[in-house]
Amino acid sequence: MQAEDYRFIIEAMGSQVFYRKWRPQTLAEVVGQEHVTQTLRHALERGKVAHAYLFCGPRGTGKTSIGRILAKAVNCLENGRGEPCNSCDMCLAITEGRALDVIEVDAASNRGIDEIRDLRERVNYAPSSARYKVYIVDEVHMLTEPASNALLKTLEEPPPYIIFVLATTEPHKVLPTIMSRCQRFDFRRLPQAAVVSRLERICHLEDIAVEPEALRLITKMASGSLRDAENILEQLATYYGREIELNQVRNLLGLSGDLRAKELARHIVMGDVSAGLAIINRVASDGVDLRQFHRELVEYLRELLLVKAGSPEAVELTPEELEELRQLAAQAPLKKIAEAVRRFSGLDLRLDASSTLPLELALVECAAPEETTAAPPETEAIAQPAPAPEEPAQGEMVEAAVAPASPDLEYIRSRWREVIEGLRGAGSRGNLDALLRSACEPVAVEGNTLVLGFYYQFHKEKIEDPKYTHLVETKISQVLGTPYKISCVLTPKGKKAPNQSAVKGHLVRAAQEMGARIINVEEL
Amino acid sequence: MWRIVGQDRAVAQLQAALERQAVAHAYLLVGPPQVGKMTLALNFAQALNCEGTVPPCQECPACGRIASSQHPDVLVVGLLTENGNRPRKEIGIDQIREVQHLASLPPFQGRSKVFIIEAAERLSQEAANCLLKTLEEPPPRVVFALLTSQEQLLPPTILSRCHRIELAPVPEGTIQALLAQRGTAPELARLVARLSRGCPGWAVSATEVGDILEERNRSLDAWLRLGGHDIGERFAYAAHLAAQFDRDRSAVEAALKLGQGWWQDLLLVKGGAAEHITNLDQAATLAQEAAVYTWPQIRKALYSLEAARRQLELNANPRLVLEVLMLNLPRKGGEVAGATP
Repeated sequence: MQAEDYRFIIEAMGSQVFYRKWRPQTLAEVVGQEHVTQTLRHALERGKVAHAYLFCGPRGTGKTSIGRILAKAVNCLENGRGEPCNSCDMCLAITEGRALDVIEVDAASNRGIDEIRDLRERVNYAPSSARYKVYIVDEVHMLTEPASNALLKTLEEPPPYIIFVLATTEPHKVLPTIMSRCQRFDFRRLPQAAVVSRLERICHLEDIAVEPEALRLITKMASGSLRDAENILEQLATYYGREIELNQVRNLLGLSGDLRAKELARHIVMGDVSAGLAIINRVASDGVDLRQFHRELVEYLRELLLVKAGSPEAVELTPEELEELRQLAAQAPLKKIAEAVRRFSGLDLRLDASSTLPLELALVECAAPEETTAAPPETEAIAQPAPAPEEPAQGEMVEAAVAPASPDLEYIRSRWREVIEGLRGAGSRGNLDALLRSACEPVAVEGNTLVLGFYYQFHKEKIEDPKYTHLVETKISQVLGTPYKISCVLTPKGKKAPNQSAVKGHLVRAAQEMGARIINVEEL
Repeated sequence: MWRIVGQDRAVAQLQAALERQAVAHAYLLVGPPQVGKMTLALNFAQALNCEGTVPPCQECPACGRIASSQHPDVLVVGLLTENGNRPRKEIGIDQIREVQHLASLPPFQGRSKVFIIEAAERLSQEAANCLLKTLEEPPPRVVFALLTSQEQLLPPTILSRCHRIELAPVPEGTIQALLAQRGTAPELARLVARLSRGCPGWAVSATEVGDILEERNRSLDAWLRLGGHDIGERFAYAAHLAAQFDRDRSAVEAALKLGQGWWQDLLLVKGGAAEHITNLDQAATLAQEAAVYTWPQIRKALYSLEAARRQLELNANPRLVLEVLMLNLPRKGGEVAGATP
């Protein structure tokens, strides 16, 4: 390619990108926002256009486009009560962005009060040639607060020839006082069918042949934004030419459809750690997008789970795929498969998209369950101290299974706090737990009777009340898993034995290693 | 001739755009740090402004000026440094306003103005919003190239306006060959290629800047020894890292990443996939160590390191984070110390 040819590229470049070239120029051409376009069309027909509109919605759904069409519609020389003609001088000027009376303000660049004051001054001048002066303010949520308030003044009492069209992707950041002075329209994420049909139209106009499946895939990747979809289509056309196939789309978008995801799933289920690790690393070194690979892995594991659980009809599978899954499902218990799904679906690979570590860790966790002590924590959990057991109910479910046959005093002491917490709100004044917390402690175990030592007669008598005794005994049994009776004795304060569980805390031990000695132990 | 290694697909996309006269006005180049985003962006800027017969020819004055950062129409926007060499944390709105102003002027010498925004994820919110309109409909003869290694941090409104080009990690063999070509000894080339994790930029720096590999060796040594150290020595290391953090945050982040890499290698060796380890030159040591640590210990180490990295990112007190990490790292032969994961 000769360098001179580039001259033409650069000159033509401004209008080439699909999403600019194929911007809708009439309300009818707008895709997927019928609730907006219909209302506007009616307003135009009746000559009842509002003086301020607020368009809210996600990116690439038509806010700026409709703003411009509206500007044309109200000013069109041929019409003026409906769609713009797009051929009169006014329509052409507006389309080309050179109309003096249609002013587009980028609120993100001109967000300060000076710029808005400037705008307010100019609002007072009548339009030079058009019927209406239209201000299209994009990203209006970026205005500073003083600027917003200044704009408010103008919105309250606009001159009759002014129309404001405010647009934003973040309506919650717009002052409610501004919002209440506008007619608000919420733009939706576009439904797939709408995007697909628009893409088809563009393909027709641009003379590009695309497989329908491919269009659907592009649309899926665009998540409801027409601009995103048009961009992807354009990139494909640029790279592959005028004929685009499904696997080319997959290729460019990094959707591997890699069979190794299935292989890895097999290794996970069968517990073959080394083979699994090998696959993960080979996939990574082959340059496959790990996030996509992960998604496909989780999808496959999910299908496996459903087949194992007996609901294969919940997924769309060919008979061969189903058979493959059934065979694999037969090799492992449901619990293991569920565990695999849980661990792998919880991974977030976005933070370091090229790191194999999350996958490797999850594999090791799944495939070696007998060495797993507990499920891996959320990282936030490591940052905070271990939470005090707030729900003995949860604790008892786990603990009941492992309650030792004859628990000793130590054990009871270590669970005493749970008992107290569990009694929160109990008692006639709701302070049973407070009574127990500060006034007594377990001092001995005799058979199936727990001896509680009280420091003061008053508290001892309170708990000896049969009503309370019963409450305490029930809670103890709940928490510890075995029924206990309590017997209350008086023990003068000061003879407390140090709480062993405190001494065993890891921070305490670490401190001891550095030469600290325990002087006193206090319950909080 | 495009002077970039291992990014055939990305180059092909841009080349096709040039040939079909379908160059978009905004591109987003996505990929890990030092994989070649800036190199690709500069090559593209050359291709757009080249005065030779086969762009980018690398020989004409325009290509030359771009290569030496002296072309008036090619501007790189990035984090500014304050006085005292500390980089600012964000790309500010004033920088973007400047860009808008410059974009409104026709090119001085070249055919098109190219604005390369480095570390685009560091755009402040105001700056990003300010850029939106310009990014959507820039003046003619303007091309934007946004570079990022953390695409998920960019607002969707920006992503939507760009053509996305992904730069995948480069195959190890390619990097090894590149290093060999530059005169690196085969053993070293193999190691560096593996350590680079697909980023040729890093690989080349590592072989040219002596400190990088030395620092790595020192750091690795420290992690290795921690296993046998008592709490006092560990805390001393934590204090050392904490002090370093104030001066040079990225060095500490790199040290933690290295530590993670070390324990990941232990996981691989213990799991029977030793051929995939990163630290090739430590194979023997790793084999020994992997036999000594249990699975719960290895997992715990990895979770603790990840937690420490995240906490530092969230601006937790560095000394505290590092000391907690030292408490949590397993000890050789000992029980799993510290809180249960």
